[in-house]
Amino acid sequence: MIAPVAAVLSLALQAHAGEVGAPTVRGPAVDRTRQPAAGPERDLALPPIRQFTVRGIKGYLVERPGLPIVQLELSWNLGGATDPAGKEGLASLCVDWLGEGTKRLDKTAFENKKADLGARIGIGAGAETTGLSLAVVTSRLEPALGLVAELLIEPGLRPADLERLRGQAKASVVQARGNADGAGARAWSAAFWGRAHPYGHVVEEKSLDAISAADCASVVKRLAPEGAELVVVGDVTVEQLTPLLEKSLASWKGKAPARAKVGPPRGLKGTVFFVDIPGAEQSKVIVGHGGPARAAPDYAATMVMSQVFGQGLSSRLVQNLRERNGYTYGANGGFAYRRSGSAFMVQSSIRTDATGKALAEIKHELTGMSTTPPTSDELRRERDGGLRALPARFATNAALARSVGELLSFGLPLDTWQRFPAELRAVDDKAAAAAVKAHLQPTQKVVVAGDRAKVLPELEALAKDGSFGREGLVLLDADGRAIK
Amino acid sequence: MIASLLSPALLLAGLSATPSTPDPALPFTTWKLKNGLQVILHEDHRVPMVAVDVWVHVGSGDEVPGKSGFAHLFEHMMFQGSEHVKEDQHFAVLREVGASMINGTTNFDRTNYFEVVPANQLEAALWLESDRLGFLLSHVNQESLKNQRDVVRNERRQRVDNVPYGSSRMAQFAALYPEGHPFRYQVIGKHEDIEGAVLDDVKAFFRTWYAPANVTLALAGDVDEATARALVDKWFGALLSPPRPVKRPFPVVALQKNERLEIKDRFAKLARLQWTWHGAAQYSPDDPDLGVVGDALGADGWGRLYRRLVVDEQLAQAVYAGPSGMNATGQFSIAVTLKPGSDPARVEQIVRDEVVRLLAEGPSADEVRRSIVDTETNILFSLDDLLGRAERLQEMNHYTGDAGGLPAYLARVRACTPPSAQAAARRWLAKPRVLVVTVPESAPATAPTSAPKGGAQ
Repeated sequence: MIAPVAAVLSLALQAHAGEVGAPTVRGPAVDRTRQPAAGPERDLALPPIRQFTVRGIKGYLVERPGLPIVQLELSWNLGGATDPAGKEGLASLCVDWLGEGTKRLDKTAFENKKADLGARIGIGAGAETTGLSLAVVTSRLEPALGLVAELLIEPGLRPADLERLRGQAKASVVQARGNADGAGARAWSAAFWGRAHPYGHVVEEKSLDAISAADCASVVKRLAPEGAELVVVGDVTVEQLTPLLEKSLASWKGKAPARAKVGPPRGLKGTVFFVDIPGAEQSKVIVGHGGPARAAPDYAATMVMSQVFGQGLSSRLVQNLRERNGYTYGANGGFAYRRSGSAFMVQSSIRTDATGKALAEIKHELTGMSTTPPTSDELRRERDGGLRALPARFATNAALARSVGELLSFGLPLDTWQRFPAELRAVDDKAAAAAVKAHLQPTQKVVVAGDRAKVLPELEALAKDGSFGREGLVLLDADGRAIK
Repeated sequence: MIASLLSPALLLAGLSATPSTPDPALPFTTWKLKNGLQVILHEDHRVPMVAVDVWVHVGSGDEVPGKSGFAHLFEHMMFQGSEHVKEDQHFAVLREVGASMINGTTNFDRTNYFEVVPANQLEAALWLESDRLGFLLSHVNQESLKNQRDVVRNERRQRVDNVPYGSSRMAQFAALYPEGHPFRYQVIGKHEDIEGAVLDDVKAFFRTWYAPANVTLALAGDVDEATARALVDKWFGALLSPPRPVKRPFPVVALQKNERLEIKDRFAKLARLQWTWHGAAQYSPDDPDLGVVGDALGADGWGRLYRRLVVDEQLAQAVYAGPSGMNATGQFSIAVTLKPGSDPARVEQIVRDEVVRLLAEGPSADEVRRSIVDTETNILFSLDDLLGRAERLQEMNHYTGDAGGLPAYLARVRACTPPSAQAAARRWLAKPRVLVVTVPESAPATAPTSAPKGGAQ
C-alpha cells in the first residue's frame, strides 16, 4: 500500500521561520570582523622511521600505538611500464592472478580464509610498481602474515583463475571506452606519452589475449624478496614484527627486479586530440605537457605555484571555471609525478556547450601564470597554509604509509620530510616565478572526449588559431589510435 | 569448478582460535549551549590537529515537492561566504590556516560540514562555522546563487547524466518513491528544480533548518574540554535560535507488486541488473542482520552470488548486495554487472534461486561470523583519522540519539545469528521489489578477438 504521501508532505516547511530582520545574536558581541589570531605554532614532530631487513626485504616501520590495527605495504619495481609490445596489461593481469589463491587454498578457500581473519589483502600492479598490502587487526597479524607468505611462496596460479581474470580485464576495457572519463584517459596516454612508451601503454582485448600462463609465471617469479621494500605502520614494533616475518617467510628466496629506465614522452604529433563519445553531456578535458622530476631541487616552489594555479577551490583555475563561469563542478591542475619525470595536467569535466569557452579560459589562466606570477596573498595561502598543513601528512596510519611510500617510490632520502619545511618556507615570489618560467610551457597538448557534433567545430577552430600549439587536430579512437 | 582442497571441518577447526576484536575506545563528553546547539568533544592529543565537524539535522528528505535538490544546493551556498567572511573566502581562509579535508556533504537526512585544522587554528575554524550558521543571510546574493545552480547542475551531469548507470539509478528511485516523495529525485534533484531555486528559498530554508538548536558540533583531537567549552561559547553561545524544527517523518511507502524497468544507457557498455527492495532504517534492529544477509549474498570474494556469478559461471564482472539505511527508511539492493555476452535471463534465474535459498535456509554460521568480523574491522579502521571519529560520534548521535552508542551497536552486530539474519531477510526480501535492467544502447565495440594465443589451458 502506498502511503498518502501528499498529506504527510503538506506539513509546512516554514513552521519556525524567523522574522525578517530579527536579531540573530544576543549578549556581548565578539569581534567577528577579524579572523581570530592563531595560538603559538608548533614545530613539525615527525615520528621516527625504523629500518630493518628480513630476507633481503628493506623494511621501514613507523610505530603508531592507539588503535589495535596495522598495515603493511610490500612493493617491487615491476609494473606495466615493462610490458612488452603486444602484451600490454601483462603485469597487471599476472599480478592479479597471483592474488587468487595458494597451492593449498583455491580461490574460494583463500577468500574465506581472508574473511575469517578480517584481513584486507590486496595485490596489484601499477605502471612502475607492484604492491601487496595487508591491513588487519593487530591480534590477527600473525595468521594474516602466514596467509600472505603462503600466497607469495606457494601461489596457486590455477589456469581457470587466469582465464576468468582475463575475461574481467577485457570487460573493463570495453567499459572504459564507452564514457568520456575512460576514453579521455586512454587517449591522453597515447597522445602525450605515446602507446609505445612505458607510461603510455593502452590495454586492449587482443593484448590481453596474447598473454600466456608461461608469461605470467615468469612475471610472478620476479616478485621475490631481495630488494623489495616494505612499509609498516601501526600498533606494532620492529621487535614484534621481524620474528613473525622471519618465521613466515623463511623459505622465500630470490632477487627482486631493479628499477626500469624510462625515457621522455614520445606522444603523437598533434596539438588537439579528440575522441567521440556520442551524446556526452560533458566533455572530459585534459590539457598538459611534460614536467620535471620529483627529485628536482625546486620541487617546493613548483608545488606552490601549481597549487596557486590549479589545486583547491581558491586556485585560479577553479575560481575561473567553477566559481566565475559555472562551466564545471570541479577542475584541477598540477604535476603528476612518475619515477621518471612528470606530466603537467589540467583536468576537468566541462558542460558540453561550454567546452570551447572553458578551453580558452584554461589557456588564459596558463598564460596568466607568466604575466601575473603568484602574488604575495596567493603565496601566503599556499606556502604558509602548506606548512601548517604538514602534520596532516603524518597524522594517520594511512597518511604515514603514503608519506613514507612516497620517499621510497621516488628514491628520496629518508630525511626528506625533515628538510621539507625549510624548503617550503623559502619559496618566495622570485622562486615561485622562476618555477613558473622553468616548468610551465607555452604550448600544450589538448585531449577532449565528448560529443562530436557539438564540440568538434570549436576544436577545429582552436587547432587553427594555434593558441595551444600549431600541430593541428587529430581524431582518435578510444584506444588512442589516430582515425584516418 | 574448482574443488576445495580443505574440508569444511578443517576450516572450522582452524577458526575456533580466532580472537575477537576488542571494542575501540572512543571516549567523549557532550553538552548543550543555551541556544540548544549540541557539542560533542573527543580528545586525542597525539597529533596537534582538531577535526571540526558540524552536522545539521536536515537533508534532502526534508525538501518539499518542486524543490528537489535544494538541501544540497543550500549546502553549496554555505561555502560562498557570510556577513564577516567575504565571497569565496571560506576555503581560502581554511587553506591558509593549514586545514585539510575541507568539504560538506548532503544526505537524505542530514548535512555535514567539516575541516581538520592545526590545533592552534581551531578558533579560526569556529569563527568560520559560527559565522555561516549565524550570519549567512546578510551575505547571500543572487549572483552567487546563480553560479552555484550552474555548479550543482554540472555536479549532476558528472554524477548522473554523463556516467554509466546514472540514469538507471534515477529510474530506480523513481520506481521506489511516488511523485511527491522527497527521495524520488535522489539528493541531487531535478535540473529544473535546481534551476528554479531562488533567494527566498535559501532564506526560508536557512531560517527553518539552520537553527543552532538543530545543529550538533563535534570536535575531535588536540583540545582540552575547558578550552573547547570557552571557544564554543565565545563563537556560538550568542547565536539566537528558534526552537528545534520538527522533522516530519519520511513517508513510508511500499511496492504493490514486482516491477521491471529497462533503461537504455549510452555510456554503460556492460549490462547490469539491479534489484531493490524497500529496506530497514539505518541502525534499526533489522539493519545489522540485513548487513549479514548482504554479505552472505554479495561479499567480494566469498558471497554466494559472487562465487556463482563471478567465479564459477563467470557471467558477471562484479556483484554487490547490501542495505543502505536512510534514517527512517532504507533500501536493500542486489546489483550484478554482466560480462559482455552473458545471458541476463540466466543471471536473473541464479539471483532468484539464491535469494529463495537464503530465505529458506538462512546464511551459514561461517557466513555470519565473516560478516561480523568484517564490520568490526571496518569500524576499527574508520577510526584511524580524527574526522572518522568525529563522524562516528555524529552518526551514532544522529541515528540512535546516543553519541556513545558504538559499543551497543557492536554488541547488536555480534548478536546476529543465522536465524536472526534469516528472519530479517524474510521480513524484507520476500516483498515486491524493483528490477532495473541497464541495457547498453549500442553493442560494445569489441575488437576482433581470437582464441587466446598461448593462453592457459
